[in-house]
Formats: sequence, structure tokens, C-alpha cells
Amino acid sequence: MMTDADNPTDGTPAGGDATMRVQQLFVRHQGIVKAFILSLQPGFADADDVLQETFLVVTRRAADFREGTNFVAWACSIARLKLFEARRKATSPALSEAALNALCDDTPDDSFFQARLGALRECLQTLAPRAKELVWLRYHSELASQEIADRLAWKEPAVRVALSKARVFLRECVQGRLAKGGA
Amino acid sequence: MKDTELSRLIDAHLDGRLSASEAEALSQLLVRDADARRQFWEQTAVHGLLPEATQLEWLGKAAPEPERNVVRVAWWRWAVPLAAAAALVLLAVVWRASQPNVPASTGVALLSRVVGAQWADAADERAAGAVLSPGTLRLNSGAVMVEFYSGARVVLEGPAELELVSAKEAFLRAGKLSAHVPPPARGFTVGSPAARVVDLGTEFGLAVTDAATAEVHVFNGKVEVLAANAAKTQSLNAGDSTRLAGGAWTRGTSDRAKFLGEAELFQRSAAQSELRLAAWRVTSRAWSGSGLADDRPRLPELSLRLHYPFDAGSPVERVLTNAVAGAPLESHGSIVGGAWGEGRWPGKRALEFRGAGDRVRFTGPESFAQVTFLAWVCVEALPQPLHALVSADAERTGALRWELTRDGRLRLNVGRDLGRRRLDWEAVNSAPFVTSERLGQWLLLATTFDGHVIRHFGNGRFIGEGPSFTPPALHLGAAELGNSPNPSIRPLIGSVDEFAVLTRALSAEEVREFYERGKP
Repeated sequence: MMTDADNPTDGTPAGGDATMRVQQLFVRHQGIVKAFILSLQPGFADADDVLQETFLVVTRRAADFREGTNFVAWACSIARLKLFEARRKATSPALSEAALNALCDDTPDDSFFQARLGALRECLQTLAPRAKELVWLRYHSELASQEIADRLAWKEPAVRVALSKARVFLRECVQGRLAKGGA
Repeated sequence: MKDTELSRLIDAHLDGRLSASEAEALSQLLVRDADARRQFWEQTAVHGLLPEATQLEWLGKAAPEPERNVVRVAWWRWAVPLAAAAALVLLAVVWRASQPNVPASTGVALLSRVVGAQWADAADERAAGAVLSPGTLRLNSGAVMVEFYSGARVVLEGPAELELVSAKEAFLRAGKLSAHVPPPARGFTVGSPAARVVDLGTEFGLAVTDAATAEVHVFNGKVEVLAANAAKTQSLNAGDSTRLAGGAWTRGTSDRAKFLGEAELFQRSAAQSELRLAAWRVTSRAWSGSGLADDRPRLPELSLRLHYPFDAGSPVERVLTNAVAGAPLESHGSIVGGAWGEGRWPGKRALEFRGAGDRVRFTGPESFAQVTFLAWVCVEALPQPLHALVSADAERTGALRWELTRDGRLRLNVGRDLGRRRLDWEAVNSAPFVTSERLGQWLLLATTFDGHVIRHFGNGRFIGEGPSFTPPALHLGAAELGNSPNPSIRPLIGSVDEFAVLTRALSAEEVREFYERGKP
């Protein structure tokens, strides 16, 4: 059913041009770009705004992208500018611009995120059912910890503590797997 | 990981709970210490990657998502064929256990834009184009624009709770809004627990944090503000702000940056649409098996037989391309009548069905055991008892007809030859879904039949099911989309911008995922 790579398709407007190519790359690597943004801008809604604005700039500057260079690094360099714009508008305490700068200069490359993504998928399967449910409500359904608390009839701090524990578990599991497989 | 204090600060950062001094301490540490930065990336990567890691891999793999908030619809119903000798046309008699109230169309406003909105209750989810009746909008995050019938426009920024009282009045229980009130809407009033704001033709912002606090900023024109327990109003002019807290007013100057304005909302909305359209295009191509070569190995066997993305060629083209890789020629649709209009996003096309003759003729699969219909549809009206979505020409056992009823139920009919003069059609209806408040919005309609049970879904949510007889095989064959050769089934009035037929019953999770990836 899906053998012919170049089967003519529904045809996207001006199919095959640089814009379409860059958009495809963006959509494919969106998870990693989003991880980069979420690390520095942890709120989902704010991170989505940054992601969307990054996408617009990436689309506009499609012609600047050179095939064969690292797409994720290019997209993250654009996301970085957008993060700084968002930082200037922030009202609640956040990392300083100097800290953001230092972190951005030290951003791991996409193989760092790719490796952790693969391990994370496996580690998710080993989470206890309750923790898994919490993680799904928080990260798949993107509910706030208060909403999760309402839904499960828990106290909000208990949800936060449990989520934090789940993240620690996942981090240790991911590192265990990387140490076993990678080193 | 050795540094537990650093670890605690990073966790507070991820929870958005850094105090000013903690933010300062963490920032300094990160600037100073390369090891701290390494730990930062290691620790935040899990948070950052989890949204991606919890995604379904395309369609097909079961999600471990605990769907505990799915409300099973108790009032499913199904029809029994009636042996009515007098009836020349089949009559499916539908019995119902209870009849939920279908709200009459008493709209006071239109939901004109929706950007990244998370609704407090998934059942309240509304898309752009929705007519809003008096009632409460509860937004957890994101932003929406509400255009009142009086002409007043409000940008509501989540988290917020806004009650629509009438075309001229709203009540902000919590959150922030900015209002733009052109001259015809003068007198538009926004209440809040602590104070009322009467607009005299202008632009203003209102923020409510709790029952005793209200903050009003005037950007243009003039408003009158009345505290809940006071008799005397005060006037505010452009550039003024006032804050009521603890029963006392504090005057100041207005600050536009505190409120999300229309221009900014439009910008965000355009950015969101463009990204969603691009994401849909990539997903859609991979789904049809026609995307980038390296996207395809992740694709499970979908039994996708027909997929019209309505995203092809030039508008004068009268052929609707079946995007499934290697699709037989006869599966491409032939457009009869129907005009091209705008689809779910700007830049995405849709086919409009308006006239009695409008339809798409196509040849669907024949002889299969299970089926899923998926269609993104914007329904304008349902004036007749039955409106066609898909109709097989053939009158034979196992033939399929997919319809909408006047009260907005999805309905799947399966032909059954009981040896009478006319073929019987057995139908299973959903609960009402395409009701008046959902007209004019893009909706994902989906129905699955696994050979035993017919299940219906609206916007990815279960909306009813019923048992069916098991025909030896299901058939589409020569068929049409948006119309029916049977004159008792009226044409669809609305637009379609994606349509797919699978010869497998998708799971509820898969339908939900299809919705999430395609929702406007």
C-alpha cells in the first residue's frame, strides 16, 4: 500500500518548494524544538506561543535554511530569540536573561534529546499505573496540577509532589538506560 | 543530581513556582556553573520531552490514556426495521429512553476566534464560528474572541470565567478581558462580583482576581464604574485606570500591556492556524502513505481505503484525488456542482454543498467486514428529517448509508434484505451532536462498525452506540458524498474539507487522536 515513495499525491500548493520542505522538517522535529522551549519556558500555553511564533519565522526564512545543516539547531536559534521576547513580557519571577543566555549557549544538540526521547518512551512503560495516569493527565492532556487534583479528588500539593517524583523516577530510568546502552 | 538544592530550584522552575529570590539564586548559579547548566538540561529534558513521549505514534497504537472522563451516553438508541406493508420507503422506528433538551437557537454572541483554548469542561469545547447562547464560558488557558450581537467585541484571556447574559451584557466572574465597544453597542455592560462597568463607546480592560477586587483600565473613550455596594458611579476617561480592593478605589493610569488586545489575538490566531495546517499536511500525507519517505516506517497498517484531503490542485479541477498511495483510478472522486470555499484553516480548501445537485461521485471499497467513516464537516443547517453524508447506490444487504438527522444525530444505516419488496435499512443513531450551537463550526464526525456494534463520535468523543445485525459483508461501491440517490434523503447543507473511509473499526483512542491532529 505504501511502497512508492514518489507517488503523486494530493499536491500541496507550490509542492516541493523550500517552504514546504522546511515546514515538514519543523513538524517532524517539533517535539525536540518544543522540549528545548519547555525547558526554558515551562508553562505549556506560553511555550506553545513561542513554538508557533518560531514556526512563523522558520516559514518566512525558509530560503535561509541550507539542506544538510542541522535543522533543529537552526530552529532552536530562532526559538531562542522568541524566548527572549517572551521573557521581557514575563510578569512572574523567571530566569534572568543572563541565565537564559548561558543555558542557550550550552544547549545540548538534538542527539541528546533524541536519545532521551527514545529512552523516555520505554521508561514510561515501567511507571506505576497511578504515576502513569498522572503523567498522562499532565503531559498528554496538558491539565494543570489543580485540575488533576480536582479530577482525582486529591490535594493539589500532593499532585505536584507525585509528579515531581514521577519525573525523578523517569530521569533516573532514562539515565540508567543511556548508561547501559550508550557508554 | 548531587546538588539537591539545585534540583529543588529546577523543579520549582518547571512548576512555575519560583519566588523572586529563588529565580535570582537559580539564575546566578546557572550563569556561574557549567555543571549546574548540565544538570539543568538533564533535569528539564524529561519535562520538555514528555508531551512528545506521551503522543500516540500516529494512529494505530493503543494509548495507555485512562479515559476516565468519557461519559458513556446512556440514551443510545437503535432502530428496528418495521414490517410495514404500506410503507414503500423504509421507515426506521427509533425508540428513545430519554430525550435530552436540544437548546433552541437563542444566541447572543458569536465565538469568532479561538486560540490555544483549553476549556474547563471538555464538553464545553467550542470552535470558532459557534453561536453562543446565554451561559458561562470557562477557559483554563488560551484566548477567545466573542462578538456580541450588539456589536461589542470581547477578548477573553484564560484562565477566566465569563457569563454571557444578553447581547448587551456579560459578567466576568474571574480572569481578564478587553472589550471594544463601537458606537452602536454603547451601554454594553460588564459586571463582576465587585463592580459593574458600563461602557459609553470605547475600549477598556477589566481584570477580576477575586470577589472583592476589580481593576478597570480605559484605553479609549469613557466608561462608568459602579462598585457593587455603592450607589454613586465614577467616570473614567481614556488613560485612566482604577482598582477596587478592600472596598477602596485606587486611581492610576491605564496599561494596555496588561491585557491581550485584538491585534495580538489575531496575530496569535494566524500563527496557530499556519502551524496547525502545516502539521496537518505532514500528518495527512504520512497517513495516506504519501509523505516523506522517512515518515513512513512508523505508520501502522490502517486499512485506509479512501482519503480525500481536499487540498489538491487548482480550484477548477473537478477531480477529488484519493491520496492513498497506489489508490485505484476509480476511487478518485468526481465533483458535481459544489463550490470551493475555505476549510478549517485559511489556505485550506473545502467543498461547499449548497444546491440539490451538489455531490461527489466515487467508487468506494466493496466486501469488507468493518468500516470507519471520518469526515471534517461544517454543517450550515439541518432543515429536513435526513441529510446525506455518504450514500451507497446499491440496495443490497450490507450496503451503507451515513446520515445526519434533523436533530443533529449521526446515523449509520446498514441494508438488510428480508425478502420484502423493498430493502430494509437498520439504523443506529447517536445522541444529538450537530445541534444548533454547533452549526457553522468545523466538526469531526466519525462512525465505526466492527460487524457487531455501531459507534458514533463527535469531535473525537463517544456520542452513542448500538448493536447491529452482522451482514455477510459491507459494501460501498458506487456511492456519493454529500448527497443521495434516494430522494427521501436530502443533500448535505454545508462544507466538507476531509473525508476518509477505512475498512477497519478504529478504536475510540484512534478517533480521538485523529481529531486532535486535525482540529482547527
